[in-house]
Amino acid sequence: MSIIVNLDVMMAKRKISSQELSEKIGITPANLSILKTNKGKAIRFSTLDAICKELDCTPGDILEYRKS
Amino acid sequence: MKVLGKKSLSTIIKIFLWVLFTVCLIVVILGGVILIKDFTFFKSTNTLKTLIILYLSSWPASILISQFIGIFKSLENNNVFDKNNLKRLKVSYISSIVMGLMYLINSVILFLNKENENWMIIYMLLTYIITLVFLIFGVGLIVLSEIYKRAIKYKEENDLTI
Repeated sequence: MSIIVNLDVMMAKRKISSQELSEKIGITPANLSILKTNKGKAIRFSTLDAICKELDCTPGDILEYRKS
Repeated sequence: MKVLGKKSLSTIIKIFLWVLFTVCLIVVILGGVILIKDFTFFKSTNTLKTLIILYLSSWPASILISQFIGIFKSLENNNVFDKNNLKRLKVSYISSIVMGLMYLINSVILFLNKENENWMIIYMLLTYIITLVFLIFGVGLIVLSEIYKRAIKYKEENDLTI
């Protein structure tokens, strides 16, 4: 897929662990791992909203388009 | 009554299919032995070709039933969107169409047989019906497998939507 999820980069910048973030945004660590490893097929606006709120960033900081 | 899960309709159908599968296996084994043993007797009658085709059709029938057992087993375990079920459906429609074609050959042989007796004409009509049933069933399974394929795809997408 051409859409890359840079969640791990943002998490490293904000120094937050997967467990902590998953608890704060209300998704399971397994689902967060799917997102981080680019295995996800889609992301809900509500999830994106919660991530952006928690990491204090914009969707553009998390999602990136790379031509394949 | 529950359709899916333990002690449900799927369990009853699975047990029924096991009985049917056992009967089918007995026919496959005994039928072959009887055909080989009394080959010269059957050769003297005009039913040899029909008997051979009937015997051969018991093979895809066994495969078809075994696939259905697998499908109902997964339904019993609440594993509805299992990718293996898709393979099972594919094998099932191939078996069904093969059986339909075998009966079609059988009905052509019966039609060309000039020494038709009364019972054979009735059997011939039955063969036409069976041919149609299996061919339509096979086509139905093709459609069902395609729907199933899409359902699995949508389910995967839904599972991977975070």
